[in-house]
Amino acid sequence: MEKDIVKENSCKTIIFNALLKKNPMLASGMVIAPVIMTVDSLPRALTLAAAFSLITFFTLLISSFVPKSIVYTVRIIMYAIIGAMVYVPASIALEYFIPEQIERMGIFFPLLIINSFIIFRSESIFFLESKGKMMLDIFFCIVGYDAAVLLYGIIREIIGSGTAWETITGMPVIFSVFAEPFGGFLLLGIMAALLRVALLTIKKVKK
Amino acid sequence: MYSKSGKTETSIMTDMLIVLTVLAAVAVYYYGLRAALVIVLTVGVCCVTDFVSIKLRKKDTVINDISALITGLTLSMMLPASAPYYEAVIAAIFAIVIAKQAFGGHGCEIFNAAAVGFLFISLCFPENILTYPVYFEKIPFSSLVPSDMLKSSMTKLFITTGSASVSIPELMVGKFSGPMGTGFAAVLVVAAVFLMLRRSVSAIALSAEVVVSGVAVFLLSGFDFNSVLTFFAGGMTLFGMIFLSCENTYMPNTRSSRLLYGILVGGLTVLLQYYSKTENAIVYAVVIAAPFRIELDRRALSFAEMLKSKHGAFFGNKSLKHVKETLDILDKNDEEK
Repeated sequence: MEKDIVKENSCKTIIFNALLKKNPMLASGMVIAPVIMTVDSLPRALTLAAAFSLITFFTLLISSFVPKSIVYTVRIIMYAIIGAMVYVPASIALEYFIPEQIERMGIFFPLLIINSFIIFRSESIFFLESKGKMMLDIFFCIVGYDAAVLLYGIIREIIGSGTAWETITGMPVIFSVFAEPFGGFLLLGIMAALLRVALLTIKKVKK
Repeated sequence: MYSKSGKTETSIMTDMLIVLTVLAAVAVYYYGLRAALVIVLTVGVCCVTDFVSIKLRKKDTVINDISALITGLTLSMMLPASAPYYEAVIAAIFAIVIAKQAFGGHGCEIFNAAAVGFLFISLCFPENILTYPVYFEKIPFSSLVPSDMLKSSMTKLFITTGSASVSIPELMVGKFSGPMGTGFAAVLVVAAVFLMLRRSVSAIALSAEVVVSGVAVFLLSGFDFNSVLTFFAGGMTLFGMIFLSCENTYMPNTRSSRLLYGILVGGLTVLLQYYSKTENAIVYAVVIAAPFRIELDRRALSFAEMLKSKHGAFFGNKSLKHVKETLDILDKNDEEK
């Protein structure tokens, strides 16, 4: 079975899966709490994307050196410790460039250390693929997540606040509910459903 | 198609339609042609959106399916007569597309579509949807009614001050500021009796809701009977209990689970109104309680099966068999997914 998985994972498939089919946010529903709670505009989406990318990529990169022989529970604790170690320089760098935006993220910024994506990806692909393919997969998964967050942020900002990059757009109707967590959930659900429809359409066209 | 109460869906929907039409007529009498326009617009958009959605989903339309009409009428009754037209349209589209068709259409909804549509616009545009015109006053036909003609609902006054400046007879005939079709307590009581006798709403759930919330309000208000009356008749509570939570389409299947569902909705309504000071608490309670229906059925089934294994008797009857079939279908769908 492991061989089959590796065989299926050609570079093209990895990229397609990471960006669309298994998009961490829209298809797998991972790391959605900070998205719903903090991303209500494009600047905030960029902040989350930057924070997530930095912490996740380097945590996974370093975590890939953790040997499989270590007990599962200890491995997971080690990933969290690595995440915390990565968090320190990442937070210093981000606070230097975008201090206000990072402060607005509140508790959701340090919580990225133990995000579900790190645990899921580290445990599901580390021991099945070569380092190169693994890093490619992680890179595109992060790109897929970031793209989804940015798209979500701009849509939520336009329909929820009537602005784009904090500039008034002159939207005739503003649905302020989308600026609230309830609306955030709703928008995420709608976007996930649309992605599913798009994937089904692609599948049908291919057939 | 037969519903859980043994009546045909068409028969239930016809009963609802009759009652809602009466309420709509009273609303037009109180608020004039502006109210009629909002009702026609909401119902029309609901029906058109439903038809288009069904066509887009490549499903067959059913001639005698008037669920969109019911949704439209229910939704319009919860709106103020002064609701801007585009907001009524948005509510109708949202109710049908997101709350109904996205879940698989009529019969598959988890949440009451009208309740979801109303919640959506009341959260988006509270300044227009939660302010109301005065009855028998001429409302201009412009989409946006001047704000000096509108005032807060009587429910809000009741929530903030604990009392309402309305006499009992006025309360009974809906002479207070509020949604256009939810305040006529006398008509609603007759409607509830009619629908219960016709088995179009669940008598068990409705009674449980009324008793639980009535007793709770009586105790919380310091044994004040007027507060109980205002709680039921002064806003959306009674209307919501009849048309949003107890309609047979949205009911659990077994009697015990209906009773528990009624207790849940009644309790939630009081909690939301008294402790979080929520206006139109019944709508929120209905939406929060909706996902529990399947779980209540599941518990009822496992309890009956436990009794059967212990005592060799199968408690429950047709309804439990119906639950089993429904749950089997749900499980099968999950497996297929």
